[in-house]
Amino acid sequence: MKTDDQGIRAHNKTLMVIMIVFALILWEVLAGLKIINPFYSSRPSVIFLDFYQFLISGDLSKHLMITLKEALAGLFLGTAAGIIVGAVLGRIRWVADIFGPIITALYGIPKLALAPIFILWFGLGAESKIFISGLLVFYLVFFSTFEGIRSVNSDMVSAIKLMGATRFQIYRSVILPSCVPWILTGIRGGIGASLLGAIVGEYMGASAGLGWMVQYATTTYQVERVMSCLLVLLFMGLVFNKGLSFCEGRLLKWRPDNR
Amino acid sequence: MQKTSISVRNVSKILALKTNENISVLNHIHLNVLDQEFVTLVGPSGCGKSTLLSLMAGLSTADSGEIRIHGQEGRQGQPVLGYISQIDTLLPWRTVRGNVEIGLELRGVSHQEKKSVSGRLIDQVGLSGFENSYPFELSGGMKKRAAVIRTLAYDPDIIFMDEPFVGLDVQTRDELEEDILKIWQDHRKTIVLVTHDLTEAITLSDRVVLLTARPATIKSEYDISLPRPRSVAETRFSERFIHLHRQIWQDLSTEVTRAGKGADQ
Repeated sequence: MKTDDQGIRAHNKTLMVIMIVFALILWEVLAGLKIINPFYSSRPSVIFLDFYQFLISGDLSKHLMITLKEALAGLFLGTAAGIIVGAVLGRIRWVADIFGPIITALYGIPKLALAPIFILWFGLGAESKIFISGLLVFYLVFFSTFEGIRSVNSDMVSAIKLMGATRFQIYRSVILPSCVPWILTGIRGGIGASLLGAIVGEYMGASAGLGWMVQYATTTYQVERVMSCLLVLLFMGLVFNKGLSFCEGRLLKWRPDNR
Repeated sequence: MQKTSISVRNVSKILALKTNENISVLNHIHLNVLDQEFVTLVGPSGCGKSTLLSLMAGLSTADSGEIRIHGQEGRQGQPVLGYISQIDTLLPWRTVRGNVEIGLELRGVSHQEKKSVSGRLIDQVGLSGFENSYPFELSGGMKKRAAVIRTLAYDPDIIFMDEPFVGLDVQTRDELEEDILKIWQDHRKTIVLVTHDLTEAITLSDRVVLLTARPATIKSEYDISLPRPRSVAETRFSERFIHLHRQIWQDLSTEVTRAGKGADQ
């Protein structure tokens, strides 16, 4: 059974690769025949060439590092704040009653609309992007942590309490571990959000970074450079998600669906 | 004369329903449980057996009367209690060993001692080889065994069991009852069990207490006095068992009929 299943999955993977290669060839041919205008959408061969130059000139790593730093800092700070605020509001009723509605109301503001004001407050450097990206991540992690804490199995809590556990011990041995899957779900969404925040922040005002590069390349009609940047972002997203999957695999061994 | 472990004196409990109705669940209950005694509460469904158990365990408080554990009222100086219910409260992110050790961990017991206690208990109930399995990998019976030894591990003076084996198949129940008999033999705990199953009640207990329909009072008590150490199979076909079973069953069925009439009104 197991090997059969693996066989089918390997087979499907091959099909996927064939499909991607086919789509790229189609794009190349259609652009070569001018059926689609390469001025607007470029073509794979030109993009790969540009990507290569982008890479060896050292520009890629320079811009990548800037965006990566912003996104990772945003992801880290947003996650930390989300877990802490979610955990406090989830457990302490009066704090939740006072701050819950405020946080939820502020959530209604489209956060990207705040980007220009953050640039005004924190300047054109990395801080404003970290702030935007952190804010986006915060909300995702906060909501899922809060939900997680609220849905802790109360029978488990009372069982541990009966064994004589202190409040802190209950928190450490029951409440936090049972929130881990929820927190990871929040972070899963936060990965995309952190990149989005960093990139949009760079669109609004920056002098470097992948977002800035995309913006600059678009205004100067270097579509192949835009595509190269998108390719880098694609890989970044993939690597982030793979990293998280690895953590999930280790942290959620105890879940039946994780095998 | 053996020491009294739990004494319930003149205890009443009224439950407030959502419809603003009050129902009297327990009515002036008197009960003494001796040290190392195995007492089982039986009675018609919804008569308040579980309520009485949770009062004794200190999970809720009585409206009148007093409950003393080792002569102490309330929570001060309360000895460590164990509570096993039909609900699975094993921590899913901990292995069998991790679950068994949690009570000791909360007490800050050394790693070595934790390991030796959990190893011994895991052996005793035949869970060897599953030490590092997570609860989702276990069968219902194995989970229950893990829950029972998790409670034994931190060595409580008194163990309360609220219909612990509900929902398990008959064969697994028999096996678990055998385990409980062995555990009582080896550890000599004071145990109070609530069950619907008269066979289980007689097989395991020293004394069976029959509660009336709501509001519950104690209708009668039965001294089981089957020889120990017992085995499930042998006990079940003895004269004394059959005699007790018939007697308790008859007394219980009059209460069940009464409870049914009460519900109709």
